[in-house]
Amino acid sequence: MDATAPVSLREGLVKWIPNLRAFALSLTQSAQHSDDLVQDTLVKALSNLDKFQEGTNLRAWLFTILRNSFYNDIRYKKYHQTVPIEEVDPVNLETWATQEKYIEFKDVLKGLGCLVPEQREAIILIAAEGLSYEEAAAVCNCPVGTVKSRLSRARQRLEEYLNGEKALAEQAS
Amino acid sequence: MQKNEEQSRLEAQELQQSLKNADTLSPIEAKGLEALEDVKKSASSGSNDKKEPVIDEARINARIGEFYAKVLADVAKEPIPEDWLKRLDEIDKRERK
Repeated sequence: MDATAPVSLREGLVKWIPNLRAFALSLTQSAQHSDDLVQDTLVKALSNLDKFQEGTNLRAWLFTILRNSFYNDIRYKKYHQTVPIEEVDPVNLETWATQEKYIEFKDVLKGLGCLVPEQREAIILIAAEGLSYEEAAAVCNCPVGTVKSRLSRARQRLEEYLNGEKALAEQAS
Repeated sequence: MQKNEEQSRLEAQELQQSLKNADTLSPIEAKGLEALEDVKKSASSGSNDKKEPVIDEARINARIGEFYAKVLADVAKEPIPEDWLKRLDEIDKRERK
């Protein structure tokens, strides 16, 4: 391994930790599971730095490792299902501008929980992380068309969910 | 039944062709041609009266963006666990040997 390269790559790994944590949290909807995943990703990444091609997208490479670990966990633990919302303890919820913002956040969180993981990752990678279809397809190891259709279904289901929540809130008030 | 359908299809084709061949079309003929084209398109795409639900992509993207920005801001505030960095250093040293 090139002795000078790992220094900057290690720094690169550390730099992307918040994004890895946010992606893992969105995928798993569990703070504990997401931290395990990120730690696992960092160890794998650093142990396999020689496989990373400098000049390519480090974030996408890290997301690929994290995503693969996530699906390995799912296969291993056999919990390929959405996590009951009562178990969701995703973020530090101490600072909220308004109560309304907090409710909106919880709605999206619950909505994401209703998506299958493949749809969840597609919408997070593209709509939140801003990856291109091609980059997201590389991370998800599937054709671009598949990513597009997963994204479209994710948006549709999320919209249905959010509209349903809104209707319920209106009924209650 | 099938014969009737086939006959109707042929008649519609004939009508369409004759309308297309006409030098000028009256407004009613033009409308008829347009309607025939629509039916043809609908039949070839296999769609009936069902319409694809319209998704407000911009709204969904905005909601997801806002959600993720909050998550990212919160996790960015959290310090990176010491044991992660320690482990990275250990692996880094090992890899460099």
